[in-house]
Amino acid sequence: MSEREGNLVRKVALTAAAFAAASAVGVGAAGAASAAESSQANLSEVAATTDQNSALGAVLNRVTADDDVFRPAGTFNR
Amino acid sequence: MIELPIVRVKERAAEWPTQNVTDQALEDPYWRPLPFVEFALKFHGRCNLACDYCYMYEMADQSWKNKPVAMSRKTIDQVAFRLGEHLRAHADEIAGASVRMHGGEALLAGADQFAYAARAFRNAAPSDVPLRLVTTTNGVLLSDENLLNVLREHRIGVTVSLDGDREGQNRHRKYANGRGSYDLVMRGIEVLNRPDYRDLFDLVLCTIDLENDPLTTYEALLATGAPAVDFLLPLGNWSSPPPGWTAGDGGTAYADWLIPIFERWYSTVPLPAGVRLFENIMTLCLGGHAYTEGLGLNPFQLIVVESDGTIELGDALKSAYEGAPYTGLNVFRNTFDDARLLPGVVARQRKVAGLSPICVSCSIRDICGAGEYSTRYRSGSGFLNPSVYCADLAKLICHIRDRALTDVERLRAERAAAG
Repeated sequence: MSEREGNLVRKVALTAAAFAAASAVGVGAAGAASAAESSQANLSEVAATTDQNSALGAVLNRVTADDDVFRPAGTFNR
Repeated sequence: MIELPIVRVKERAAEWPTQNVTDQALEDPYWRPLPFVEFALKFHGRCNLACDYCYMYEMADQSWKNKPVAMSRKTIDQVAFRLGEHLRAHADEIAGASVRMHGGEALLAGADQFAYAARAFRNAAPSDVPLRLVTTTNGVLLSDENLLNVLREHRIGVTVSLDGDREGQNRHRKYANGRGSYDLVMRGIEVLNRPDYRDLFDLVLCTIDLENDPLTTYEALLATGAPAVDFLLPLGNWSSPPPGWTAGDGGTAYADWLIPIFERWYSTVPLPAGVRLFENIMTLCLGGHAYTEGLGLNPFQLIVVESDGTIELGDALKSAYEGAPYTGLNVFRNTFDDARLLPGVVARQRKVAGLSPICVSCSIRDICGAGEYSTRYRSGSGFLNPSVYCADLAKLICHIRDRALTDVERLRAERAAAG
């Protein structure tokens, strides 16, 4: 499973309470990735209907655009 | 000839993480050591305030007393050399890097030193690795426009530490003579907000004090005009619990303090500012990644360089015990790669394998990530524990998760019903 597929599978697992598609996680890499993309599409659709100026809208946009790359401000929080 | 300081470290060989952590990691075919992408420099080793909760001067590790007042240009040059060496060696693994000029109070180093260091670091970094320069300040010197002009010229982002309103700020963030710092800090923030400098303003950082009213504190932080706010749980651990900590009696004082702020923030549209702690919890609950230490399981890829050039682990460890961040390495004789297999580095890059058994079996482990590393410390067992904030984090995370996922599900249902 690629790193991207792994990330998508994790998203499915974590959004299980919101999306029934998450139940497909146990069916193997291809099935899980497919379910993950479905779930990702769901998140994108929900993001599109959410007020972009709200906390939820901002976070949904961040999640759907999440590419797991370095964030320049860093994680150090002191 | 280079003179290196003599550092005495209390023998803690039996405490986790031991060498065994590195040995096990190296036997894991799915693990590899990651390069450092964040470099926190003790750019100036002293402070113009005397905050009574400071982890650098007031907690377990007192090694600052043996270190130079400020990072010399010779040391800056050597840090720059090591930085360039590391980023070039790992350019294919790194999307970018940041250098945080930290203290003590970093701005005490002065405008010329910032300009010198910025040039040195940017010249050293390979052109294909974006380098971001940032600093954290108590804000007292921000009204110095000569300094701000240098920060602007060299594109150095600014994080300001502020504990809230006048009463909240002056309770702990005081001068040595007891005078509060609020007025000078707010004057500095006013200058930072001027159009010439506004783009430098990254974040205002608040250490939680349970004695302060949460919503009053939140509104005071918003009033600074900062684009983002963050709340820090005070450093503490199982052997030295944080102030006002109630989890030992089944309480969740810190979660109870933060939840009203979350509700105010979450319910306000348009959003007045980002709140990094809440955004990161929500992002993790929705399957994204956290971009701050202390949440999630992302590997920690930060290293600290002290004012004398010694290479240390994350400086929050100073709150745990004397010598906790010590590595025995120094930029004058060691590369940053030499630190990559230290148990204290490897332990924070092992994801679930770096968690205690209690955390491994916890349903929110991927979100909580066992909390900020130093808060897991317990004398005898080291850092292989849940965070001392375990109960607070669980309550806060579940509250935020339930709120966000309920709304996501409602929106999805509404969209489905609308066809």
